[in-house]
Amino acid sequence: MKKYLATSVLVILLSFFWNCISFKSGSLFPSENQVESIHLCKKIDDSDGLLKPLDIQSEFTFKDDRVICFIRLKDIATKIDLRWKWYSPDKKLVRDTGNVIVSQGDRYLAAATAYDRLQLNPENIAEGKWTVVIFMNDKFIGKKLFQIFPSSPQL
Amino acid sequence: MNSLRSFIVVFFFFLFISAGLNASKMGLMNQASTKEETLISLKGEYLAYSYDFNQIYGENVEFKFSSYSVSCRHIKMDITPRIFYAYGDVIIEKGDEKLNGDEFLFDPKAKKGTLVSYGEKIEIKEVENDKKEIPWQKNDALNELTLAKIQKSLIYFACQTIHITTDFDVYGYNVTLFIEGLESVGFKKLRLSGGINQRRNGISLNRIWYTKSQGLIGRVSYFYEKEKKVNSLTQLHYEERSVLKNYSGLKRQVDVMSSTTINLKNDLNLGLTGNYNSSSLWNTLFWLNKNWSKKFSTQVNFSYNKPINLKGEAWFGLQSTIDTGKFGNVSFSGKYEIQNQMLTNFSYGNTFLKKINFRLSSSYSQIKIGESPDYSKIFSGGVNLSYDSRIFNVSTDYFLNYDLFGDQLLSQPQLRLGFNPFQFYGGLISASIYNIFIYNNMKKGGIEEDSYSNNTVLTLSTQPIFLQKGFSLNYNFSLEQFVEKEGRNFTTGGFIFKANKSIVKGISVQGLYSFQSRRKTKDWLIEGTTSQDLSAVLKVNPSERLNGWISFSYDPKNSQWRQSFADISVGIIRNWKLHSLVHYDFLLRKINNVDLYLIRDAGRFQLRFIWRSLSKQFLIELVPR
Repeated sequence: MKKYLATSVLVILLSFFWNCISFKSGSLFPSENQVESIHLCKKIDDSDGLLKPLDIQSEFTFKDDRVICFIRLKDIATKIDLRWKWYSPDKKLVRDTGNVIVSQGDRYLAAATAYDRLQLNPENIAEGKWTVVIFMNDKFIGKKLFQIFPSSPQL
Repeated sequence: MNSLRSFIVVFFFFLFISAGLNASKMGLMNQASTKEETLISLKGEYLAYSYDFNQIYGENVEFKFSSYSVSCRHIKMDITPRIFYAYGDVIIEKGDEKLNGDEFLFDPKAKKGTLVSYGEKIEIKEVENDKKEIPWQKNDALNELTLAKIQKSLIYFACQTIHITTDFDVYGYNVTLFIEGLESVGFKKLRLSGGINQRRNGISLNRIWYTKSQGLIGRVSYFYEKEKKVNSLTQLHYEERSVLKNYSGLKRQVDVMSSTTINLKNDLNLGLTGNYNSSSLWNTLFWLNKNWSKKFSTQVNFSYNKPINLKGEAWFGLQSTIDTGKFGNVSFSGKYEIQNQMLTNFSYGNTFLKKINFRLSSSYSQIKIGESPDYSKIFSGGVNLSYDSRIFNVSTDYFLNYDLFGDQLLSQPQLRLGFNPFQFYGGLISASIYNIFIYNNMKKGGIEEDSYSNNTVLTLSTQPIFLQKGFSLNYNFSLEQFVEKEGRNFTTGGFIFKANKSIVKGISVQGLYSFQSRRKTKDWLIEGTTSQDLSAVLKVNPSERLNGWISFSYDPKNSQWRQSFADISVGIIRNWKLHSLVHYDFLLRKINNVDLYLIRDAGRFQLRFIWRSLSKQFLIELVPR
């Protein structure tokens, strides 16, 4: 039995080495300033050093005071600024934060959090499907879609 | 020590087998991929492919889309649902034509795409997309796809060139393999998606394995598919047992299984299946299916079945179903065997006035009794009429079974009446009652016998009653009375009392007391049994990482502890978790069984290391999900 097992292992190993293994070239690394997550939420927990989103959801009503778009970044090694743009259901820009500096790039940050909020005022906020997009150093990095209902979505 | 050594040998053997098969596959793949048409080629500064999730993430990527060259800062692809998404400084060029945008959602197979820009308003441009528009929100499903998620995979690859074929196989060039985040060996070229869910046209070696009980095992399959036309799979399974020590059975066994379906037209298809076993056992089935309309279909078939040491049987069959709408559904099937055996079945069903259901069925079978010249001939039929209302349901059945060979006739009318659960005290208490009456009449030769029985069931239950916040009680009661002609009567009753108490967030305790009694009466004799059970369950779920419960069972009647079960799951690191099941028997005063699982959730599969104390087994399982 051991003979069969040893032969099988040898054959498989030989085929393995001859067919596919190569000695790897230089390692590849992703770029810094990675987006870890983007969430829509109602509240922010600021009790710790890094902010945390609370009540994460994608449906809101006018009973909610605001919609918060929260972003968490990691491996920040350069200067970065963020910009949020909020679009109404008819695809028009309603709010633009302009560039907000998050890191001066003078030191490495393992993680960073930031957010922007849209006040839900029925007089100037329409119900329907909204879009919020985030730019980092003027480059698009992500978007979230959310729905605004006049009252509770279950009703 | 021996078991540890066995484990190490088995584990590495498993790893090498997998890797070796991948390697040998890859040799074939090198040729296969060149033959296969490339759907999309990605070149980037950094590309990562997660085997767990069949997803790609890339940075500073260039690729061809239709006749356009596309460049972007990031790319995300979810291969299984076919979502392809480029974003960040997207530039699409063809000759002098140049389009800029922030995100580009595309379908490389249909060659259509949607380019979106976020300026003063959202602008959407269709690229090579005169067909149906891709919903531009579709990429929302990719929000969860991040580099962090890919890097947390059990297996992922990093490289700078990836090819995706028209069969959605993913090939990487000069790839580095990462196992549990640790950089491992490199490959010149590898079929990254070499996976569990994909099947390609051609021959594949599925398995070569050795077990102490089955010997050397090999499985080869041949698959052929022509989209919407032909689908064929043939599998060959071989077991070589002559290598086993002290084995007295057959030295080897071959099983061949084949199944082919051909769609001749939209409404006409045929199929052929065949199975062969080297112990002289085989069968085959040919069928032709015709859909005359959406409501009328017919199938003709021929099958041959050759059992071991018995004469083969050749059957011709015809079956048809007709949906006549308000006149009901009719189905008929008939089979004839050349040794004068036959099976027929007819059924009719309809619903009248939305609530009255009528079902009629009859069947006739004429089957040979072993090797004798006699046939068993049985005619059976049934009629069912039922009525469902909001308050009650009533159903009457008549069943007839006529054994022509044994000259035996059984007729059995039944009447069922039930009240749907109704609530009172504002929904606090719910009650239901159900009754079934069965009459049997048996005629055999000149003898006629009849019998009847009646069974009544009453149940009462309460909704949870909250005595204080986090503390609730509920109660179930049931009573059953069974009577029959012979005078044997059974009365069964019992109740279950449940209490729930939440101690702190994530920790709760549940207590349960049940009492069941069964009494049998016949004439002056009364006999019966009672049983009681008291049990408690402590549930612990303080966080996502810790989840478990422990239960104790006690018999108050005999003042005896019975058994205890515990089920605990603890998240360790990354996506590894330890799960254990323990059973303690108080009567035997020993731990009866311990199951320990070390589980790695890895997207489309799960890796499990299992220890079972009862069978003293250590198992490694790779389970597709």
